[in-house]
Amino acid sequence: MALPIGYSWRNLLVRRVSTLFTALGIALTVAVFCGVFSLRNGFQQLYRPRGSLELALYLRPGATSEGESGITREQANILLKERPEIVRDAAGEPMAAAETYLAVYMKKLDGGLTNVPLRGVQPMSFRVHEVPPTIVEGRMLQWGADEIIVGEPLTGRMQGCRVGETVTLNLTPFRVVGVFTAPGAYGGEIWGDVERMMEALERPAFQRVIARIDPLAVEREVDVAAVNEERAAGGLAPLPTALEALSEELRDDPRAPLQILSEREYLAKQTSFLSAGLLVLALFLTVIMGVAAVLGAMNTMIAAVSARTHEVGVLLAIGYRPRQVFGAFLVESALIGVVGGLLGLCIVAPFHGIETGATNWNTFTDVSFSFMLSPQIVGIAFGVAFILGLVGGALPAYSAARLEPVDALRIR
Amino acid sequence: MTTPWGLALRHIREHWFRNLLTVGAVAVAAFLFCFLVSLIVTLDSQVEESSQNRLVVQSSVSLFVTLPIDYHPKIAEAPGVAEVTKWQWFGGYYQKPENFFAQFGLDPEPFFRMYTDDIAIVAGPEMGTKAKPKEKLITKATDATPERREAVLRAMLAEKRGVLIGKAVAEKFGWRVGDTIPLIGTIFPRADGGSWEFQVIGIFEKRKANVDEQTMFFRFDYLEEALRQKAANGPLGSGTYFVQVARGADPSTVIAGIDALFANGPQRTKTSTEAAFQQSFVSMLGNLPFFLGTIGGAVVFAVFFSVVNAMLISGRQRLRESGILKALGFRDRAIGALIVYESVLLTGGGGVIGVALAFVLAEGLRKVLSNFFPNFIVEPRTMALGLAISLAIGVVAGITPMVQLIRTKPTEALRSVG
Repeated sequence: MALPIGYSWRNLLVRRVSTLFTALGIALTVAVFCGVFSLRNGFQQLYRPRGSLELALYLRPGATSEGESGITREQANILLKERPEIVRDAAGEPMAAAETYLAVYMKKLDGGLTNVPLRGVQPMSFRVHEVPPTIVEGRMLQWGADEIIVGEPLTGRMQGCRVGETVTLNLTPFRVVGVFTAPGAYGGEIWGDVERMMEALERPAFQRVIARIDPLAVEREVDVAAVNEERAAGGLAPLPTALEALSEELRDDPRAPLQILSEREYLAKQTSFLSAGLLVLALFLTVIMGVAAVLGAMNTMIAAVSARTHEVGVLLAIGYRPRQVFGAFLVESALIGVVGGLLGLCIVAPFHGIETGATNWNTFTDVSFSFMLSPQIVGIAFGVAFILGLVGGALPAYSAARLEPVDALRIR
Repeated sequence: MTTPWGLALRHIREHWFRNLLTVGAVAVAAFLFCFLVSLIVTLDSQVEESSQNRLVVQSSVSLFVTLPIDYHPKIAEAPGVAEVTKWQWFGGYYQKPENFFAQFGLDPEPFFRMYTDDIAIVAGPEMGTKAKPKEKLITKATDATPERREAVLRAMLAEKRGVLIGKAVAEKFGWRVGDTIPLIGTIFPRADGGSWEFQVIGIFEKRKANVDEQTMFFRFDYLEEALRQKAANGPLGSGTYFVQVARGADPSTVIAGIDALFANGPQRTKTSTEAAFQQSFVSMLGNLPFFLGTIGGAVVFAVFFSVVNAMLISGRQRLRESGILKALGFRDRAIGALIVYESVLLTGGGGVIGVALAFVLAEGLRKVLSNFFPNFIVEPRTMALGLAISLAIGVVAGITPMVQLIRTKPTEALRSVG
């Protein structure tokens, strides 16, 4: 018969101070693990691909983000007029908008400068998105006027972002007339009439064209097999989608050399730096702190075994198998892990939902996001705590099981 | 009676495995602590070592707005300005986007004069090129001579595509003096879709933390010519101008003077000291330094608990022995000192190992982190702090069982079966 779990549990209760200290070591490891991963989760949620809408971006070839891109007015006109894949609305207007994008300096309310994304938009910008921005305070901007609307999170973090205040861009003051909410990273931007932006900032080019595209038209338009044949001749890997093949063809267009990519793909690319950084940080810290926690757990368990040598002798003498003794000590240490896991989650839970800001190094702009615990993170963290406990207890439990009953009984 | 210090060593030896675990835990904590603190120190060092007499002129609107190139002569004539160079971000990569490093287009002559003390030229054209093995082609920073500096500058002025690259870049891609390096421009794509070609003239090593060795400096006029001839596309202008303040001039007056020049456009400027400019990048990290500090604290705390725990266990096992010592006439002080001594020996040992580990691994960590923290160094004061904290943990962890041992009466202690 196996030793009841109550035996292990009561042993922990007897040594509750020691148990608590050991569990705290594991708890802090779990807390750091959860903390960094929930930050990463909160950041990635911001750039999560939304909906199934066929939304695509045109950028200059070679540009890896909007900030690097540049599209001239002529190129944009050609694009809007001629590209067959761009969907048209009932009135025959192309569902596409040419936009500018610039990371502008703004003063934070708590001091210091940061970079806030400023987007020059066209009326169609409000219609291409599946979930369009909604004005929650003030009013919509007037086209042709020096007016801007700001994303809601900015009003609480930046100076001059409340309705009625002004933001001066170079020499032109722009009045804040409204506050909007929008899903994802768009929600943290400032929007104004693209024509006014270009004039005020003396920037003659657009940064991107965003358009709703018809996937069937894309497939009609491009011969994927032919493109891939040509690539194979040049020793290049084949392109899996029609959109990528189209992008390849657009690059060589003499009048408007551009690349096209889905918004989904673009957003995924915009998280690479910070996500990778946080992932490395989380893994590195977890491994190192985990090692320290295992050493602590092992220490406690060795002490527990040596203090109970006599008791182990009794257990073995009355007929418990070494395997069962091993199991009992292992359960004991796994329980420490579980307690540590619970404690760790208690430490980190209050952070859930707290907003913080960091720079997204791909776009070089400030983004606000919150710690977001997810069931996966909690589950993995709990598993880590359990394993830390098990690993810490394995060796001491083994040495307890190996005790000779006669020798063990002799020790008082 | 004198305190039997040897007893502490015997205790450590008796439970050697358990004590090894304690030492290990402290070592890990000391290492992690040094590492995290070094990250924060690294961020600050870039700011601290920046020159107060060097100014950065940029657009007041955004880091990404380029200033017109006719600002150059205007800034040069401003009162108190000794040197000006353009300083334009190129944003190119080698072969694939992951192979990305900083490249700046500038005017070599003022740049060389302004950065004499900040960089050491460790390889130049006079050292020969492909014939010798690579490692022979780079000298120590202390061997850098003014003659070589002069030779590299002359060679750069003679070769339009000439570049000066940081040692880290040279090592990462295996480039050496004389090599031609092709870069794809993301902001300035070549009109023919091909790559830009640069030629390595010299390799530099930093002398101060404000310089990043993952950098390439090239001639701005090479970029300008290509843009004017439509061989490449992109905005013509300079994102920033770096200015050396004349000897004796007050930097804040010079700053105000430059900004006043362009108060009415076409692009307003925001001039700041190089230190403030660097600081703005650090502040972009947001709460990161705070998080790192918190985590460092958590690690120290966690290990502190585990050491206290270990010492409490040691104390319990020693009740009977301390009873004997008391019965023999040893003072409470001696008995207490013994266990604190043991505890400090353990954590001190762990601290030494952890700090040594951080010291040994610093170079490797710097390479791993080069994209995020190019100047990562573990400073002596950080190591001293790590060691001090380890010792402090030992003292505090020893005090708890000490109180316990002292409070127990000899008769009671002798009865204990520990």
